[in-house]
Amino acid sequence: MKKQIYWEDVNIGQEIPTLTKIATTMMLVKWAGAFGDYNPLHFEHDFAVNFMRSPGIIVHGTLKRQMLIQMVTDWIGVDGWLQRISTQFKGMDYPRPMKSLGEPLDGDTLLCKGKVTGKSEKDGKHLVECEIWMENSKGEVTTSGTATVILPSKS
Amino acid sequence: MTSEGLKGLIGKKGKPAVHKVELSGLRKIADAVGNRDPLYWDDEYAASTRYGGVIAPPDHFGWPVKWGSNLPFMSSSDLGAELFGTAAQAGYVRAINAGMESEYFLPVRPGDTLVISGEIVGIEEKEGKKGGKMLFSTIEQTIVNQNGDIVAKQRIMTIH
Repeated sequence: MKKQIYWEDVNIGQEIPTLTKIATTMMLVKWAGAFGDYNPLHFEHDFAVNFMRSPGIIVHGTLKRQMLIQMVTDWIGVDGWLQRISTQFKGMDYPRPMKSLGEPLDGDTLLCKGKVTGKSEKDGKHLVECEIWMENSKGEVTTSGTATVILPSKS
Repeated sequence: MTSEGLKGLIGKKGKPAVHKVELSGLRKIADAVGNRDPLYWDDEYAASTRYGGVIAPPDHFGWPVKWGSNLPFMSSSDLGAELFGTAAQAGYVRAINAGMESEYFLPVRPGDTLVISGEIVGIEEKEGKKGGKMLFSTIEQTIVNQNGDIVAKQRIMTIH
């Protein structure tokens, strides 16, 4: 099992380990089914272009958010608790089409990133405030947000 | 100026939706995003943690127990259908998720029965950057479990 991080280990300005994700058309179909968002914007190219006036199929905001959630929960470990997360979907992300059954074509890689912006104690809880965001391969921030986590304390 | 029909949506509450949380449902979320955390996949490991068992990834609140037919969104209540329908009548036929905010108070577990209550708390028309109008809506949801405890609160912002 991964080592548990404690409140005392965390410093303001510290970066959250980056989580790298590749969104594929296959992943978007899985997410549509798992989350229950069947908007054809996420799987039908012509609909995305003609009706939604999008350059193409885009990644679900809820999926990008779940990637950021995973980045945070991977970092805080099983004894940490994600208390609050806010995400703004500022830019579109495009999935990679599949090249074979198991492998996507070249394309965008999504980087989930974050850093610690604050630490406090409230009602016996050890809180950490974070800024979180997602970058595409061009380094553009396509999703931004903030999160508050509760970490275990050594004291 | 916001049209009367749209303005009337503010403060509107939806009929609470009953959702059931199941192990396979929460694992589909973890599978789709590619999250191999044993807290979602390994019953024995999960039992050894402070949770005493598998819990759902944040944002998973199960599936409706009743046929809802509010496609394309499984999770949308009749409130969501009314919001999108009224917006479409006012000329806003497209909709895109602009952002979400959640607070999580308690773990969601397989077997939980959750009641999701929604309210439209924000409706605002603005001039778009490229001309033409845009509609911004916010739905607030409170999710309560079978013990009467609030497990989470969510705000969902949509641009129409």
